[in-house]
Amino acid sequence: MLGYLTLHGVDTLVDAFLPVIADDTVVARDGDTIWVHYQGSVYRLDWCDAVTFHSGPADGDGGLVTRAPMPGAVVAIAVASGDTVRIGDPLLTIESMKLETVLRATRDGVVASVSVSVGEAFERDRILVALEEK
Amino acid sequence: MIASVLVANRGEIAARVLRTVRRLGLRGLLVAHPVDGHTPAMDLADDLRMIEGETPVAAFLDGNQIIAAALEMGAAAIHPGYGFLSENAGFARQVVDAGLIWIGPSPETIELMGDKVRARSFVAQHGFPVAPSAIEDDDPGSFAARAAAVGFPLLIKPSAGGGGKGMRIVRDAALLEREIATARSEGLRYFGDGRLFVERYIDQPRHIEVQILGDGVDVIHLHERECSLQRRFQKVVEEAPSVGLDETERARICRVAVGIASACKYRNAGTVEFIYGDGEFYFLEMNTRLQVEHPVTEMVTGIDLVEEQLAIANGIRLRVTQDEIRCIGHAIEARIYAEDPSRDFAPTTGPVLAFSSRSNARLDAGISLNGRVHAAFDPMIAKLVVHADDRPSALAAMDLALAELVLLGVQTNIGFLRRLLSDPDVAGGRMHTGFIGDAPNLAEEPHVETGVRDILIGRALAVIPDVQEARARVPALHAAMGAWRN
Repeated sequence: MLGYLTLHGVDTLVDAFLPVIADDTVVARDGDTIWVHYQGSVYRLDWCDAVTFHSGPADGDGGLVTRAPMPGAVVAIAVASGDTVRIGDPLLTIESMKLETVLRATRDGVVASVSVSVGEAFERDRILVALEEK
Repeated sequence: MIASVLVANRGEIAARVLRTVRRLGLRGLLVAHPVDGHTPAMDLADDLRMIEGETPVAAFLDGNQIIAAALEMGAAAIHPGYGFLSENAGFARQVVDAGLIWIGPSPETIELMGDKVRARSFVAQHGFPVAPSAIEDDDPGSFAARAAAVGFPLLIKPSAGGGGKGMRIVRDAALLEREIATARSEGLRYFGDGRLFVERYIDQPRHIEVQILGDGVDVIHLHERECSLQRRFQKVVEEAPSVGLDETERARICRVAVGIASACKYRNAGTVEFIYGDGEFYFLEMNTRLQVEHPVTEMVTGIDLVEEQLAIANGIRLRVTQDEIRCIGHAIEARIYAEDPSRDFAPTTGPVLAFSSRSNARLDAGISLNGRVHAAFDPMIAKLVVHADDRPSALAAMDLALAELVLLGVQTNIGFLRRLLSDPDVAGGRMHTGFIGDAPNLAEEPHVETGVRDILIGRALAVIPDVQEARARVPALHAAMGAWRN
């Protein structure tokens, strides 16, 4: 067992060693993201090794990790490492597409880390704040 | 005669203007912002100055800095492209005051057409069609009665408004007074201004525009374009000619566009935009610059619009007559946006890991291989343009060109464009400006068949370092196990 490839939200356990190579594909990798152009369509697959996949926190983290919903910049940060937060509490304010958005805790927890600073620009899916269980 | 041109723009349009400048044997000059990295326009420029600003966009809006760069590089003229300072009358004046040639219309024309209410009354005064309307400020006491006289359905808009906020469609005369009251309170809440105006509302309209060229005396048209496929009020696909007009209407709309441009003694390439529906068309606005979708007109007429802009700026009278303009075949342009259609077309970013076009379609691109798409500017990164004998052939050519455009590393709308253009209503020419919004299913990621999934996974595995390492260990493992087997 090696890991999982996620395509359109579907995780596929990968333990096969033999690749099926189609001649008309173009493949490129950016970290754990693999892009494939196949028969006129582009697909994005995300690699996650089995250990990380099962230990989390990744996307299936039960709301512990707050990721950037779209590219933007940090306007304000409302919490610091060690703060206790309740569901609905503001974590940080971001600006994207000229709109300010408040990102809120989706569960109770303690702030484990804030990985951005005010004014910092980020891209989509960047981890902004991570919580841990109380 | 202009010997060197500074392009005060970026992305695909900077490269597109420089291509013509070079073909004509002139010096091409460029300003650029560091956030863009290495761009296609840089490969075409003879000289270059980096510009800075509080934000990257602010750098391209800093007229003083751009003019200083132009003078330093010895530019004779400035081409503004589209967006940024292209419709800024103050900048046009500054350019001229600095002793440079402005490749655009007079500042007075830019001001007239830039003020939407003034432009509208100018057009109406000259006897051309604008949507029937009533403006509260003209006589507040009779506003409701004048609004009802406009006819239904009508659209109530806040005078101070924008972005669709506070707009209300009224289909029933009995509801008019109540809707006016609601719109007024919304106007107050959003804009601190409760003044209103109403306009006749056209259901499911088409967006049709006419390309014109004027030398300050004569004006000719280069036929129309249809740009009805839009998302969030931005064009996505444009074509020439329009599939929605018959010959009589086509002649009429082109004649009106020439009339409007002649009335303001227009001097430059320009576009008169109309809303068309129920057999009628109304003036929407006039854009006093080159437009994003100008290539479809170039394809069907064989005329390089940037070359004509340069000739006009040189003071040369129009080099073609109306009779010499032919519209041959059918052209379609698809705008490639870095965006995620399934997330309400939200912009995306990422590295350009692969970028190649295997078809012979015209590709006007603002990105290069190994560059990066970032969030600092507009998400339009390239345009694909095809030309064929007729519309069905052009649609087929576009589908092939989109399929053979390989762009990896950043999510784009390429797959969405293929689904959109193969929709039976689009193929049949039954389009309106709300079409994309009304068809959310086209924006969804299609289901991936199991067979395709297996191929994708197999191909992806070949580039994952973890997998490669594991594979490298396997032969040794098998060798060690050899004695134990069987």
